[in-house]
Amino acid sequence: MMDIGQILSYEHNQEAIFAGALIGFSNGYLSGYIVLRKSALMVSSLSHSLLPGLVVASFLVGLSAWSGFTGALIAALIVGLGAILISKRSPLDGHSALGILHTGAFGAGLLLLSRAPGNIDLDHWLFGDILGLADADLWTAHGISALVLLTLTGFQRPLLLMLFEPSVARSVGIPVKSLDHLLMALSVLALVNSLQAVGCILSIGLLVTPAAILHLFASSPRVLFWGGGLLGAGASVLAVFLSNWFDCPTGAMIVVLLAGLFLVAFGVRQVADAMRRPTSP
Amino acid sequence: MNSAGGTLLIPWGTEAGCAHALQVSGLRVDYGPIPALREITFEARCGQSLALMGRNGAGKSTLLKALAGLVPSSGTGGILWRGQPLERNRREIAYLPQREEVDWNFPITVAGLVEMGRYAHLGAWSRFGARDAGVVDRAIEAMELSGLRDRPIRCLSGGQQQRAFIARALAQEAHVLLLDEPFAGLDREAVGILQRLFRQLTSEGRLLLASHHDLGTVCETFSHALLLNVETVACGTAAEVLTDHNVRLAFAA
Repeated sequence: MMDIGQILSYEHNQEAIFAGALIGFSNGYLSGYIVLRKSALMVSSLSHSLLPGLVVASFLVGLSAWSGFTGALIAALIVGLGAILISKRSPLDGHSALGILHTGAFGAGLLLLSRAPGNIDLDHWLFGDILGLADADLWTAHGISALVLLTLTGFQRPLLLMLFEPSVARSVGIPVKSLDHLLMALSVLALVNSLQAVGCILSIGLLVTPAAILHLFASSPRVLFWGGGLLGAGASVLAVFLSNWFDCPTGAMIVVLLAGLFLVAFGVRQVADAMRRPTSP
Repeated sequence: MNSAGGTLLIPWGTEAGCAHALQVSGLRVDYGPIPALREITFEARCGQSLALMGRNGAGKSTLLKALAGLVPSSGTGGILWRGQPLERNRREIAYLPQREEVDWNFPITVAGLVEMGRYAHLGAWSRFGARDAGVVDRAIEAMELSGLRDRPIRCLSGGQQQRAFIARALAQEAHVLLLDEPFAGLDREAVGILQRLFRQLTSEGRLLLASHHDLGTVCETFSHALLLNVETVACGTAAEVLTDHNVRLAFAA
């Protein structure tokens, strides 16, 4: 087993730790908004719609960092906007529309994949490959993380009003619909950003669990945001070390660490509630 | 403190000393093909507390939402506040939703909730300064919540929750408070506290409009009343309005 110094001596590990911290922080920060917006399932649906984008991109121009990101982004946007359009122009609600479109898109991706000439290796896009990051990936991670964090902190007050009470927010003149779409757009960007770290199937873990853990105890939304960022970054960095030691995939390790921490936190909260109950009036 | 309607006004805006009026004329709201409110006309002045009364579906909540700008009015009717269309002075109006419409699990303390009232003035980027902190402190104090500042809102009693939301409206420096069923589900003690705070707010020159369903407590709680049955049945001081005849008219199916 390598010690910490040995792990850190590899350049690809250094890059993985840096990228993990960056992506983990910005996605963990966003997870606070997704939990408070109660849109985990919606974002999860969108994450599955990334697959056909990746497949089409690999058909058309071959899979590279840029083509993968672009394809995934376009596919998620088509599914997301399509769901909005259907819910506006029909009696169906947005969740049902999204259910139809994202499964349809994912299925189409699988069909296309089965007709692929030769072998397309999608594994590291589906399940993440943070150790195999290229320079180009890092730059996208920088750019998207900065955009997500700046937008969320910049619009924090109106977003909070919208998340807490959409109707009251509207009554003081806040453009609730636009902010909601902004949040969805940032979620899609964050999904694309986390492709390299945890892959499209597991990406929702990093976008829900960090803030969900803190939601069990916190009484301030800012604790969810900043704390979620720190938990996301911490879990990602720790996962790089653990996956080196145990020779296992980093993306899976990140989401398992977070889910395990959630279960522990949930248990602690149950015990704390049980102990408090008999003494309270 | 007394509740003499309109005599103890704090100067506000340009027309110091003279009561500001909320004028509603010919207001109409439709939900699809169904008229929810028709030809609503009334006037309320600062220093008054106005109970909106009527059976279920009479349009009490709809009227509050229309005043808050949450549902669009149809037709030619209008709402004037201080002689101007209401849209120009949105933040002088605060809407407090029914308790079951609030997500009480939202991670926020009393102080955090009241601070949100300042956002209407600060916008997205202005710094939360000492003056804002002072306004927040005074609002919390006025609603007698000083000891509960750091308590999460889900751990408050019903009456305290209602007061926390009123404190937020005060932090917003709202002049008109629109409350949807503020007394629903409160125990007798909490009702007493809220009635006293209502009188305090109106004596400071604020205008309160609240939907209310308990005919027995209208006169002790509100100075004025508006009886609704999709249309205006009667409007005036609470004692004038609540005659047997009017009540029968308003509550007839």
